[in-house]
Amino acid sequence: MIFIASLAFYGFWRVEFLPVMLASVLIDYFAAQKIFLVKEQAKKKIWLYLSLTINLGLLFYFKYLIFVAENIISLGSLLGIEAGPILLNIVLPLGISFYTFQTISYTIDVYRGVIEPEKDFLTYASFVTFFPQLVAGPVLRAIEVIPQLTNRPKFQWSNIAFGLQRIIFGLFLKVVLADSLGPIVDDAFSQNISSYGAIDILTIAFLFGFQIYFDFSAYSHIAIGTARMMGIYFPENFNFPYLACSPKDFWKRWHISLSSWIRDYVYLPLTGTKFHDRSIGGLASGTTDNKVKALLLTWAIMGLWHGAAWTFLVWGLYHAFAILTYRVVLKFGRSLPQAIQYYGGILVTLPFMMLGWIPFRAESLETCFLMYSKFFSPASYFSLGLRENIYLVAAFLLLSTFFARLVQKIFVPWLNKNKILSIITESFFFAVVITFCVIYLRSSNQFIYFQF
Amino acid sequence: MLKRLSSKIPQYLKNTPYSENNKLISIFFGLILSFILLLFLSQKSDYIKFDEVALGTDTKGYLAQIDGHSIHTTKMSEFSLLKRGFELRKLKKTALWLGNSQLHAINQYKEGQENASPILLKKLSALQTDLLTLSFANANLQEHYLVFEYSKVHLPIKILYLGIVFDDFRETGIRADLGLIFQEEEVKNNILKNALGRQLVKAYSSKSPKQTNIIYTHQEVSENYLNKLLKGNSLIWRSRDQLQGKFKLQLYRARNNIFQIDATTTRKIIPSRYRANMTALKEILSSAAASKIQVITYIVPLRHDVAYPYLKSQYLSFKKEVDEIARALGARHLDIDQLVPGKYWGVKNSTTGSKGKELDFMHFQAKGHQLLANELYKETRALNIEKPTL
Repeated sequence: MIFIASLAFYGFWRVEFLPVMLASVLIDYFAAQKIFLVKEQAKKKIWLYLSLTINLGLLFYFKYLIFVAENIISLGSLLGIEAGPILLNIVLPLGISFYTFQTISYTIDVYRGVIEPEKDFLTYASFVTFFPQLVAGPVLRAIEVIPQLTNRPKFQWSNIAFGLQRIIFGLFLKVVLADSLGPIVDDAFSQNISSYGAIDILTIAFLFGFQIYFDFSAYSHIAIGTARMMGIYFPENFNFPYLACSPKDFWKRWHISLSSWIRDYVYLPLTGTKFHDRSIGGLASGTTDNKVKALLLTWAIMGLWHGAAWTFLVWGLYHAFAILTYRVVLKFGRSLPQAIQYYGGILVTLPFMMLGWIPFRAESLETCFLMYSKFFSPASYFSLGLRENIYLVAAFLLLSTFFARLVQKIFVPWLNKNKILSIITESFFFAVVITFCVIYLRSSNQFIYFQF
Repeated sequence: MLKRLSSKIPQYLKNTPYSENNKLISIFFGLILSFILLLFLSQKSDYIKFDEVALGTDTKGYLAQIDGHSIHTTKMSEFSLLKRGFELRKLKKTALWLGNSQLHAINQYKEGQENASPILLKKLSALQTDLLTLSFANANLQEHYLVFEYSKVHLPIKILYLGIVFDDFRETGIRADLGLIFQEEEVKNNILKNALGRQLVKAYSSKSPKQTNIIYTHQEVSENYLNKLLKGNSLIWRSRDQLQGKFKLQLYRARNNIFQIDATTTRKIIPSRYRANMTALKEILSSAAASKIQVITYIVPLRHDVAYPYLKSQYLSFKKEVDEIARALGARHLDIDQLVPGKYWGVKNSTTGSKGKELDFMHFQAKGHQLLANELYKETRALNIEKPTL
């Protein structure tokens, strides 16, 4: 039923891309069986490489072919070789980056001996195509989900309650907050950047940072909530990332499932360190001298995973340098009191991470570097070029982030001690949230991460 | 040794930041309360035209008609009605007048009064020239550019009247109503000939309403069906636009209250938007010159018996720049910001939502419209317009 529902869900968008997803599922199902059954390590590797080649080949074709072709043509024209325009019209299948990573992790886990291959095709196919997370994650591990699909739990009202709560909350983040910020951010990025000052760039970076956080975390909340209503536990994907006290901490809080995946299947193998078998976020330090090269390569891959454009590569490398800088600074900062390390860390990390969104959102490398250049010009700190409301919105969102954390850490536990008070307060909270969701719900605005 | 996860859910997956228990009751009561609240809010009968909120209760939007056909509209979707009226009046050429809410609003309106467009139309009839007016609240020059390019393709325009408002140089964005402009290939191709047009097409053409022959996905078909079904059967669903608008209005008033913003608060230019609108002005005038359309631009009348809400240096610099651009690109330019005496202005509702009134710097009374129409007609007579032969 889950498998059929997932196919129907995906087919609602474009039924013609179902075969692509099913091809990926079939290839890795059989490859994993073969890897498990053959005894020789060399033959196991062949099946693994076959699976990787086909999956990454599909991803390359749909996502990177036009990008590579365009760059080859540009390079050719620089060398005096003229070529005609690219006439390819390739549509990116929804969720391909996510389900490809899931199937790859499955075959690698079987190869590594972390998990035995799932014999039942429908169970395995349900894991890959499971509709709550199919189009924008979390990126699931077979070891976390397949056993839950095999041993279906009994119905529990607490799962329904938890799930509904997360879905309602996710809807609010998306339709009220993210979609309200969208037009403001779009307008800010569409204006002439040369008339902006440094504070303006920081402000619109903050606004986009909040937009993408609300948008993406909303999807994760809805995915986690929907799965939970069926009794399936998903790992968390976000944990107040803008309260991170370091770049390393940030990546333990932002898109946790992806950062874990990249750590275990790209970074740690490159450094030769032992991997983890669960989605708990972050990048381990590594123990070899290759860790700097591994870090840069990992982040380049991480950046390009998000999109076939040089701006995404710059985004990835920005974070690589942030982590490298942090490793250096950490040596000197260790002697400071814990409170200063923590709160000072947040004060420094937050704007740094927000500025990291500029290449992610900028239309081109030129725009991206123009925006960054503002920070190296003293005069640009004294001019403001945005509408006054925009600074107000950014300031309000920033304060709300800290307030929300306080509410979660102090108010909610206190409230939960008194059942009646808790029910009354939460009822009003849900009333307000649901009201806003109904008023603001529009069908026109897709989730940002649907494009990856 | 191969590892297998046991059938128990790993503890780390269960460590969620939210408490799971007793939420169903809260959600249930929340749903009930939300339904009651939405029903209550939906049944409140005060329908608000948000475009005209800024006009207030003392000012009325007036859209003239001749023989039952519109000559003035505030909606691009009604352009075809304007065109129909023009065709029926059988005048061979027309003037086009573009402006903001100052054109359609009459402060302290009394029955029988008219705004400037029908007054000017009657005068232009002597020159065998029709007049069609499009005015949008807080219209920026980029919007005027798009409307002009669209109108040029559909009408034999001989004269363009363009009201230039300093306030509206702070505005940007293209309202959804203008989205249909991007659907016409000829218009779109004309717009794409310059950098501004290419930027506008890139930023806004995806938001234009879908044409009827486009194939929808199953998702879109089902969403459209559900939306239609709910709209037809649910008062709450029908009222959502109003409720959203009212909420934003309250936020706007709250902001004004907190920061003590009112009609007299000084407004500074926003450099990026200012430059974009100046560029749009140049494109309009260049396009008109290329199409041999005569242009009369004017700095709109402002209330000047009290200090206006701009930085004087910025306002004077703006007027100078507009004057230079207009002259360079062959337009006749009028600086008539002092045309309408103070007694012909009025008041409007407070921007903070309080019961008091504020001075209205933008919308004058009927007498002001008469003065405006007369001044523009005087300037039109100076143009080399074909006079009717006996």
